[in-house]
Amino acid sequence: MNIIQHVANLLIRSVFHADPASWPWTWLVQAVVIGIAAFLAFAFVAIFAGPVSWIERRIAGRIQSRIGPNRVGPQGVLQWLADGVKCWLKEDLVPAAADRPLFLAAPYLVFTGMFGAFVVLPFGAQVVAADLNVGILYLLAITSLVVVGLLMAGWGSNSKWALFGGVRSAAQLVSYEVPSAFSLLCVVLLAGTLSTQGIVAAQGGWPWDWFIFRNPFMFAAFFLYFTAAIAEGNRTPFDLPEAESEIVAGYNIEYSGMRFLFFLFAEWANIWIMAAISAFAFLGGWQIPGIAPEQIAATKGWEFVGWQALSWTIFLVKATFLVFVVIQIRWTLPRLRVDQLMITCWKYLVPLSMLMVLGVLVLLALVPEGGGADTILRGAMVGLGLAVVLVSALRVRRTFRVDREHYREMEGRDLWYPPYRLP
Amino acid sequence: MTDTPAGRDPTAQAPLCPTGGDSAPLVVTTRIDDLVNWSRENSIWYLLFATACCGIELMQTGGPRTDLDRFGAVFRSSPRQSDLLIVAGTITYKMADRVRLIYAQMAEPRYVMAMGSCANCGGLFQQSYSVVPGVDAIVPVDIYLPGCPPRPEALNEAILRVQDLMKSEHWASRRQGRGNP
Amino acid sequence: MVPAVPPPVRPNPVRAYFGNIRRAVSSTFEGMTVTMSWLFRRPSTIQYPDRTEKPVREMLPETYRGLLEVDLSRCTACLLCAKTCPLGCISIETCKHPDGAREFQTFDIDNGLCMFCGLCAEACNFDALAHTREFEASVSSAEQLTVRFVDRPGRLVAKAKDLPPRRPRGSILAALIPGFGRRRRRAAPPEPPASPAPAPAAGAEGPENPEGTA
Ligand code: SF4
Ligand code: SF4
Repeated sequence: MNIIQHVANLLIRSVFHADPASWPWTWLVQAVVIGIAAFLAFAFVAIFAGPVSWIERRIAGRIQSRIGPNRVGPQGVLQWLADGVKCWLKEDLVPAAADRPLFLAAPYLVFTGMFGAFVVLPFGAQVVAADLNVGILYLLAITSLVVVGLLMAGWGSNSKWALFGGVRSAAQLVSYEVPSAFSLLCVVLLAGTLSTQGIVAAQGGWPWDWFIFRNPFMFAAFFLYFTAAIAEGNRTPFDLPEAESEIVAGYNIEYSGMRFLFFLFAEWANIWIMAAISAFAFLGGWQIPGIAPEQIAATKGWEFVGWQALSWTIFLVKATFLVFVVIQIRWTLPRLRVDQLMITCWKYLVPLSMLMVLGVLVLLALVPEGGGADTILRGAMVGLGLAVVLVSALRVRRTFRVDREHYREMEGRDLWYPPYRLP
Repeated sequence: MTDTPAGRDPTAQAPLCPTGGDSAPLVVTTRIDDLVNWSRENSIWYLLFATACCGIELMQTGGPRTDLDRFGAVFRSSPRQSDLLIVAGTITYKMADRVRLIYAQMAEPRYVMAMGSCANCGGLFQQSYSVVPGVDAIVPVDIYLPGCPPRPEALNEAILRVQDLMKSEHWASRRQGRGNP
Repeated sequence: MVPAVPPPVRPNPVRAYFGNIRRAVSSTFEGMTVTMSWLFRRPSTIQYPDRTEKPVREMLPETYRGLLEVDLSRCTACLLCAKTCPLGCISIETCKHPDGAREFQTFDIDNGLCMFCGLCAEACNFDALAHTREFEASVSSAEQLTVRFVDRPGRLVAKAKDLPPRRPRGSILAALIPGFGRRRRRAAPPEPPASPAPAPAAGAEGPENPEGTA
């Protein structure tokens, strides 16, 4: 029983003193509760997209040796509010030659595509709007709805740059669906289910129970999926549809005011969604270390709520960490060329992800779960993950140290200025 | 324009309220004008429009040393989404049509800044047969910024002055817009 | 027929393929570590109007060519600057009194036109016309771009033999234009105590113009 039915039944029992199984209005109460949940998810997107845009600008600033927005409110935390209100009140232009219905509808379609994905995201042990048994398929399908919106925006704007942007994004999304679907197929193979909650339940709280550390092929599949997801979300280095240097602003070039805000919004929501998918499919989702999901489901009252909140927090932390990685990638890598983009997809990501599916299948047949070989494999993969983290930390330290000497010679000051020190 | 010889007319330029650079007022007052102006002045998206040497300085102002992003001012590459058109550089007669077009494509409320001598009055190319003597002949200019080129801090100061300008406006009246030249 | 140029050596496609993967992974990794290290570095931003250690104007070199300023009490109206200026930004007019003294009618510098080349300041023999380190000069109307230095009637033209000392640079502009340097004055609450730099803003009431030497 998911949390929506739970809440609805609770309401029916306590407020209407009826038995939810036989009461005729159960469906109505459930619909209302679903509506409220949808509104909460909507508010979550809004509230998430705003501060994250501020955080991204601050991080981008520090990466580029500048500061980023720090004047609006304390340290600029209200920057997103100013941007939002301003865009909202700006004139909403529709070009005279535009295809009016398409132009007007496109942002909402994009937004719907992004927003629909929230339905199946498993936020916590019982916190999921709808635990579809074809969750992953639904995710893949609904996020590709975005491409229709982008094409509509590109076509409806009646501007050549917008059209280029729309067509590029269509090509890109359709191509990158393939490797991302193959990578998720590895997950589905291991979990044995398409349901998102089922995938999380097939993993565990400890890192060695996560799918990413299950075997080397899953490890690679995670990175393949992440790359493909960045490309699907039109993020740098794959943001060809909005490449300023080539096609000005891409598909959203003719949009102003609120409609443009919807595109921005969808972009931020999309980052969050792809981070969330990676988190629940590969990184154990909301699983709390040491507690089995059945134990959580068996609790009652406030204890239940407490466990839910904890699992929710764990999921958010994992997803937010991945959002930071996406942001850092954006400010690290230069944009690809169109042909390079397609080569990356069809010549590298697609064959490699197929290979990963094969590898996972072979290992599934050869290495029984829970056996000695499986334990060794998982231990080795966790070790590999730790090694990657450690090596990158050492590299960061080395890069920093070299420049610290030079900086002190030139400026007479220390270079050290940790990110929590806000200028 | 001045009847006194005392330099600039002191009344022509309202005294500036000193909020531009400090952390902006947190108190969201009940007055809608305040909220609207607050959001507007803290989110000046300027158009990347550079035609000559001033453009280099414009880019530099967005760079690390004079980080315009501190004030929420970021560049947009599409005129539809920008609030401020910074005319950075020499405008030839051939370009003048484009400047007008770009201005017409911007969504209200829109502001124009003439950056550098060329945009102010043609600058050192004033006598040329092909250079527009001042961009205010083709689009209405809100802020003039002297310099050839102005240093990044000067542009930053001009942005703060655009903020002051926005602060003194009424949302309802500005909403109507100024029409296209 | 033997080709003149040997055919290009084609790299082994398999090696090239995996080499590309390796390069992509390693360069992404390198790049990520470099950008990560930047998160721990001091930003090089100078927080211009108010959060700097000292006003930006004082960080500029002494020879910085900012806004022009003329000390009328040292100006002999020789018109050298006006003639040197390639753009004609400087307009000087004088009139002659019956007793032989000359009085300034106008001394205007069009900042909007000026390209800050410094030729006029170089031409000035009496250190009357000089660049300051001021740069904050945005205005909201084109007329205000012109700075009129003759602030009241009766400004007499100086005699070259007998010149008062030059008033501190920047003080004349500050006295002339209301609200001038407003951003600068809001700068830096923690004023560095041992700052040997002369404070030109304080010199607004410098040596009073002795009305020439008639
Ligand atoms: S004002 Fe000077 S610096 Fe700016 S574009 Fe003109 S010539 Fe170049
Ligand atoms: S600095 Fe150059 S352009 Fe400006 S007034 Fe002097 S001579 Fe003329």
